[in-house]
Amino acid sequence: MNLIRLGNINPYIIYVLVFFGILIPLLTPLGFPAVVAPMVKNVYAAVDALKPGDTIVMSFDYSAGGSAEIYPQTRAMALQALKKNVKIVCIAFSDQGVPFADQIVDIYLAAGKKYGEDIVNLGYLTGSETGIAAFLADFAKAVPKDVKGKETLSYPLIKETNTANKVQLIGSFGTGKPGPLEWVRQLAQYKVKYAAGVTTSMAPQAYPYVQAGQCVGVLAGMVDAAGYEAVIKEPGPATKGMDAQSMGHLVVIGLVLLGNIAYWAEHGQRRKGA
Amino acid sequence: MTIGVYTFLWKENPFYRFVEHAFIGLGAGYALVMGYTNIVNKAWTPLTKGRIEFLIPVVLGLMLFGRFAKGLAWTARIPLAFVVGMGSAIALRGSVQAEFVEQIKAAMTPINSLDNLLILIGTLGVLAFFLFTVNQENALMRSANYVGRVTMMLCFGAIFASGIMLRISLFIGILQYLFGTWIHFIK
Repeated sequence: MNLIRLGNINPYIIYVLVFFGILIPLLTPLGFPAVVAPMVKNVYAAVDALKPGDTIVMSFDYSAGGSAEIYPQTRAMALQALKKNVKIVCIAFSDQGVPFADQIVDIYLAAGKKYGEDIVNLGYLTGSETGIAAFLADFAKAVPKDVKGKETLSYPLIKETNTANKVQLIGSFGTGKPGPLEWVRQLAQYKVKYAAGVTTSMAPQAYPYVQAGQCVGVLAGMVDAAGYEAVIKEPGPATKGMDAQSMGHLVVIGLVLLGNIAYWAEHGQRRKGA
Repeated sequence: MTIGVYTFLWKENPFYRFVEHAFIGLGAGYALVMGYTNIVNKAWTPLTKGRIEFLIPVVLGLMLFGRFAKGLAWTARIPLAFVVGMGSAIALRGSVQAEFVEQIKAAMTPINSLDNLLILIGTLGVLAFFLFTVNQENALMRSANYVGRVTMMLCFGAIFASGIMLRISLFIGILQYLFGTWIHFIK
């Protein structure tokens, strides 16, 4: 067999391998155990330490493209907050984040919680980092009307907690800018705890903030969302996707190995020729 | 539309192009509506309630459109200067503490575990790699450079692997939608 030909594998074969490698475990789950990373435990512990009636801010800074990874994280945090009777202020620094915040509001309303008292969706605030700075200083001033077009100060939740100093935890969930860097910079002058939910590709850049104590934990992509679902015992979309994720990785590892076998075979042949 | 996007894997085709244009149109329309709502909520409503100080950002915003008129192009520079200046100042306010002081403090960890030892070696190696004003020819600097290069390669590898993980997660999301929400194959 000519090993060098493995390096010129038809891309359509790769598409088919990846497609079925991911689809088959989705159709027939293999039951790989979910791994709960230390970072997930940190975020869980931060929410678990809250008392009933405390408030968290959840910022939806992601677009539809990143929702497969980020939405399960927000859902898991909201479900844990719901169990603890913790209130949520939703905000979005990405224009596409608003409907995802609505999904979290729906979870709360379905559990019998009241809009304006237990949860509120302030909608989209433009300005990225400048917007974050204005929001942290005064929620109602930065966002005079919520997503329903009602005065934000007319809601008891915003009357009680109108600034970052009055909330117990801030969770930002993003796929780019603003991300943990912008949040950490603006939270430097506040005492509030901060947790980040990011895509797996952003995680390596966010981890130093945990080591420095600026962030209680980083949830990285679908893997950590599945870990979070496992620790709160609420299996959801991330748990269902983990078998497929593992199989997808095995396919990619296999392809990388094939590419290397082809490279070394070609290298050996060239040396023989010389 | 999802299937239309994936037809590009086969080859460029009119279906894909239609979906691409529709997506751009949808995105632009959505952004326009969000922008309009922002202007109404954060500028027009306060103005109608007599808060005339909001005229300043409104006028500055309108000046941005000056670049479309030949003789008024210079007016756009003033609000742009405000945006750049304010953005930089707000970022700078927290960056010294958050990105500099705290990160240096975090790097000064006691060497009481293998993790901390690796962090120390990696940090010193990468810093040495970017010391351009020191003679890099001696054995110590060459070794430090090598450590720095290996550390960065490991970091790039982690970022690349995370990128693959992200793409697979996104594809899983699409398959869950197509085979779960749409045709109910996935229970």
